[in-house]
Amino acid sequence: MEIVNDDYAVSYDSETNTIVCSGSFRLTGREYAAITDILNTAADAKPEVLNLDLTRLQFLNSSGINTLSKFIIRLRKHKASQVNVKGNSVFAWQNRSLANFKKLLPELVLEFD
Amino acid sequence: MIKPMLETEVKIEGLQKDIVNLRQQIEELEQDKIDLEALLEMTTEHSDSVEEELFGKAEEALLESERRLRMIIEATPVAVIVSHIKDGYIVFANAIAGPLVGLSSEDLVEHKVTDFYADSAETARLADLLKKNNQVDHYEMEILRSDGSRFWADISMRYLEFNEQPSILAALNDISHLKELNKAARRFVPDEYLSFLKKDSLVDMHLGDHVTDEMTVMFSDLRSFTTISEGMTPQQNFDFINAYLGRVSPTIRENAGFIVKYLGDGIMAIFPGNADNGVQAGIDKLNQVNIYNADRAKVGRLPVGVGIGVNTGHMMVGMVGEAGRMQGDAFSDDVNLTSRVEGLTKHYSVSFIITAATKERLTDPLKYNIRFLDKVQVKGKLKALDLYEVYDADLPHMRSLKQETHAQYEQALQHYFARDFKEAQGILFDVLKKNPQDKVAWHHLIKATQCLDEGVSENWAGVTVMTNK
Repeated sequence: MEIVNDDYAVSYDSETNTIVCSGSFRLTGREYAAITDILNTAADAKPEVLNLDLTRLQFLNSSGINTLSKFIIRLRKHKASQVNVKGNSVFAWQNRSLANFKKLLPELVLEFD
Repeated sequence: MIKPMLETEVKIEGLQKDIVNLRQQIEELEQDKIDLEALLEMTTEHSDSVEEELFGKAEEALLESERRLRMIIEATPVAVIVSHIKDGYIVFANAIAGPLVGLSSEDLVEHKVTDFYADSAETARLADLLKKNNQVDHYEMEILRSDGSRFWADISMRYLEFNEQPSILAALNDISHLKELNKAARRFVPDEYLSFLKKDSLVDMHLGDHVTDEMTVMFSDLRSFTTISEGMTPQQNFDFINAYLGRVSPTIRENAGFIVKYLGDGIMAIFPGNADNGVQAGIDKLNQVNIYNADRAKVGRLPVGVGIGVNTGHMMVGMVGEAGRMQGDAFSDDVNLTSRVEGLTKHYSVSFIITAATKERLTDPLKYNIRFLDKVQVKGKLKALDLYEVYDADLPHMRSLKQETHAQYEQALQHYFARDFKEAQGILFDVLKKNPQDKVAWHHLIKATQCLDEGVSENWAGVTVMTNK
């Protein structure tokens, strides 16, 4: 599953259980529905390990962080997957905002490039 | 009793289940509440960090764009100066602005713009222009350098808000070389000639531009130039011609005329106004020659003689040549005729001849010393012309003798044309007794004698026919 746009792209590979988000997420709340679908599909597949690769995600607006946070909560509720998030410290906002994911899911593993 | 007991137990069991359920729901709600709080906190924090990042980037971009803009202005090959309106002090000057006035651009900032105006009246003029048009474009004015020297600049101005103060941005270019070029060009095509052809600039001059009108034309030539120039080096020749032309040329301008062209040592000039201008210019010119000759005599040089012919008639004055090389010229039968008339000064040994056409148009012919010269049919013309001699610029002694004999002389000519040659001869003898140097009187005496000796035909009208140019 994937969404590819001029500005951003989201993909889910069910073989490697990896979600890759890249580009700039500057959408409105409603526009995130398509992305939410992909994220939920991945979460609901309840893989043993789920990787979230954000190393090429340059920008994320408030609705975007909301979408990702709800996805983390969903995973916590499923209690089925080990969640690994990969960030990129070059994008300053990631340093603070990704660390907050741990508040929602303490077992989450966060790793920076 | 058992049955009610059982019912009660079942109820309790149900209530206990409800309690567990409710507890679980409360727990879930609490978890949801925690999650929502965390979400809110995270979103806010995320917004803050993103905002901060963006703000930093915007500031950086602003600084960068300012830096770029400054780089462009500094590198602009036009001097740019910003000054505050309230006190005129310069608050910004780009790299080339300072050196233009002989200062560093840093030093420039301590000055007022008006310090560099060569003409202080320009301050008011520029302010008026700015107020009226809200901008100034390509205004040409003289700028003062710090060492007191001047240069011409082309200036454009715009209003500008600078450091939150109403300011003026001025861009200026040194156009001294252009001014010099214009000045140089004007020497080849004088302003009078431009305005005569109703042109604003040399750039507008085209082949075939012309004005047709009745005008007075003057031809003048140096007599015996070939004799004088013999034994001169080429440089001496040039110096001599230019000394002579330098003395006589201004008399044309001073009498509302302009020089159409130089013909070697000769001058062809046009007087678009009245005929008086042409006659007065001729007199002034000969007076200049007299002064020049007096100067030459002081250093032991031979005097120069000048012949002038003036005529009035219709002519075309304009540009001839080819697109790549043109010059002013005038033509018409009357122009050609004038050249011939000028040539006749040699034949009659006089310095200044005008035609009847010019004499008739003089506002007051009695203002001048003019006497009848001859009836002449020049080569190539069928009609005879009445020619007159203007002797205002003869040397004082000669002039007073001619004045003294003026009436007698004209009387003699009347007899001559009335075929009363004997009478004419007698009076001319009298004239020559008083003024033996009067070459024209001699000329007529010889002719009268000839007519008397040889007789004349029936249709004789006293016309002198010129067979050569």
